[in-house]
Amino acid sequence: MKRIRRDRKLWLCRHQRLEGERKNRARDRLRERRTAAVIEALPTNPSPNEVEVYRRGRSRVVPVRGEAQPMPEIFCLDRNPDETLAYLTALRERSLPADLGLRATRRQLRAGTTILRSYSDFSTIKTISASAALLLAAEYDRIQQIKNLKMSAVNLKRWNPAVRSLLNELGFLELVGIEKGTRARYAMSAGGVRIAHFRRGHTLDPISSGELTDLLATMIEDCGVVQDLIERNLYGALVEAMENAIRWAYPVDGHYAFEPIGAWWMTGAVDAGQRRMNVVLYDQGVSIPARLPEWDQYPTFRRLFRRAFKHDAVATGEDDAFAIRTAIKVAKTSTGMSHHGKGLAVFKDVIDRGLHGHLRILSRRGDYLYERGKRPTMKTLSQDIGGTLIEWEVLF
Amino acid sequence: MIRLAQEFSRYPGGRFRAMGPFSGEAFRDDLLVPALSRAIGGSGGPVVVLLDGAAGYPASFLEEAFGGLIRAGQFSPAEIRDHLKVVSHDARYAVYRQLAEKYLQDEIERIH
Repeated sequence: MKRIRRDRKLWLCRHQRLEGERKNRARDRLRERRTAAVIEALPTNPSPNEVEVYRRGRSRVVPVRGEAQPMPEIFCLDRNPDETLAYLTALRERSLPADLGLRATRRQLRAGTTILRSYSDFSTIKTISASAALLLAAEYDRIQQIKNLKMSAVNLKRWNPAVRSLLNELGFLELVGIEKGTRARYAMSAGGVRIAHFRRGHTLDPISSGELTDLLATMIEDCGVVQDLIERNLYGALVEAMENAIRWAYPVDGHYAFEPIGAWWMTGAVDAGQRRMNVVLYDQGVSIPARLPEWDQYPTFRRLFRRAFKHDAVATGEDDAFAIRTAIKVAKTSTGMSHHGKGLAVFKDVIDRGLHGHLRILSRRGDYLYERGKRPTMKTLSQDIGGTLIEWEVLF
Repeated sequence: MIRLAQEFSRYPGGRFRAMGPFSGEAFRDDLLVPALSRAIGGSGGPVVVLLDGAAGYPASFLEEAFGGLIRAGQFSPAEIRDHLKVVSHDARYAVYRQLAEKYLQDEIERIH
C-alpha cells in the first residue's frame, strides 16, 4: 500500500474539515430559507394567532408568535411621508441585520412548520402611490438579494383590491413568489391606475428606459389623449438620472446605513382618472448631498450655499433640500463649466418644456419640488429616504 | 447621411462606453469620426447627422458625441464647421439639434 506523506495527510484532514464546514453552511442557508418569512399568506380561516403564508404556489397556515406590523393606510411619500418613511426604515432595521427574527426547531422543520415572529400587515394599506410602491419593491428586492431568501406574502386575500392590483402590476407579487396563475386573478381593472412592471439594473440600460417611456406613451394614448413625450425629453432625463445613479450613488468608500446592492429601480404609472403620468427612478446610494464635495463644481456650490447657511451642506441633513436646489442652480446657470455635471440641470427641462407637471427629488432628508413658473418648495423629511428618488409628474 | 436612430440606436445611451451600450463616445468614434475623415479627405459632401426617430437624447450623449469631437482634437473647428451638419426634419427634434450645435460651439469657445 502506498505510504501517504505527512503533509499530504495534513492537507487531506484540512480539506475534509473545510468541506464539512462548507456543507454545514449550505445546510444552515437552506434552513434559513425554509424558516424565513416576514409577510402574509392566503387564509383558510386562521385563528387570531395564525396567518396564511403563500409560497411557491401553496398556502399554509402558520402560527405567529409576535404582532403584526401595521402598514400606513396612506402609503405615499407626498400625502403621508412621515409614516411611509418610518415604515420603510423599520423594515430595513428589522430585516437587514443577520437575525431575521425567525427560528424553527428541527422538529418543526421536519414537520414543515414555520413560526413567524412578526410580519407586515399589508391589509391596512388603503392607498399606495407609484413612488412609494417602487420604494417598497426595492427594499424587498434588496432584502431578498442580501439575505438570499424568498420573502412571502401573508393574508393576500385580505389586502385592499386596488392596492393588491397595483402591487401585482408593479411586479411586487412576483417578487414575493406568488405564482403566475394566482397573480392573474389580481389583474388591474380598467379605469384604475396602470403601473409598469418595475425594472432593476446595475448598469446603464437605455433600452429599458426607452421601453418604459414608449409604454407610458401607449398608456396615455389608451386614455384618448395624444401626449408627445419626445419634445419633453423624458427619455433623455431618465437615462441621465440613471447614469448619475451609476456613477455617483455607490462609491466604494461610501458610508451606508444599510448594505447596498448597487442597483437602480424604475417604474412609471398613468392615472386615467387624474390624467396624470409619473415616472420614478430610485437608488439606495449615499445621496446627492453626500456626494457634492466630489463634484467639480463644488467650490461654486459651496460659495453659494454658505452665503445662505454659513455651514457646509453635507454636515447636516437639515438643509438637504436647499443643497439639491443649489446644485441644480449651479448646474443650470454656470457658464464655462466643464462638460460634466449637466445632469441635474436637464431634469427640470422635462417640466419646463410642457404645460403642467412637477419634478420631485428626494435625497437623504431633502424633499425638493419644482413646478414650472413657481418657486421651488423645499422640505426636510423626518427620516432619511435611504438613497435618492427622482420623480417626474406630467399632467395630460 | 447618418440616420442616428436607424444606424446607431433608437435609444441613445450615456456618455462613455464603459457606462453601457449606445454611448455618445461609441457614436462619435465608430460612426462620426470615420465619416468625417472620409468627408474631409475629399470624397463627397459634408457629413449630415439626422436626429429624427430616436426616443430622445440624454444631454451627456449629445455633449460627448459632438462636444467630444472638438476635445478629441482629430479635426480642427474649421474642418468640423465645414464638414458636419446636424439636422432634424421633424420639428420635435429641433431642440436636440440646437443642443448639439450648442455643445459644439461651447467646446470650441472653451478650448480656443
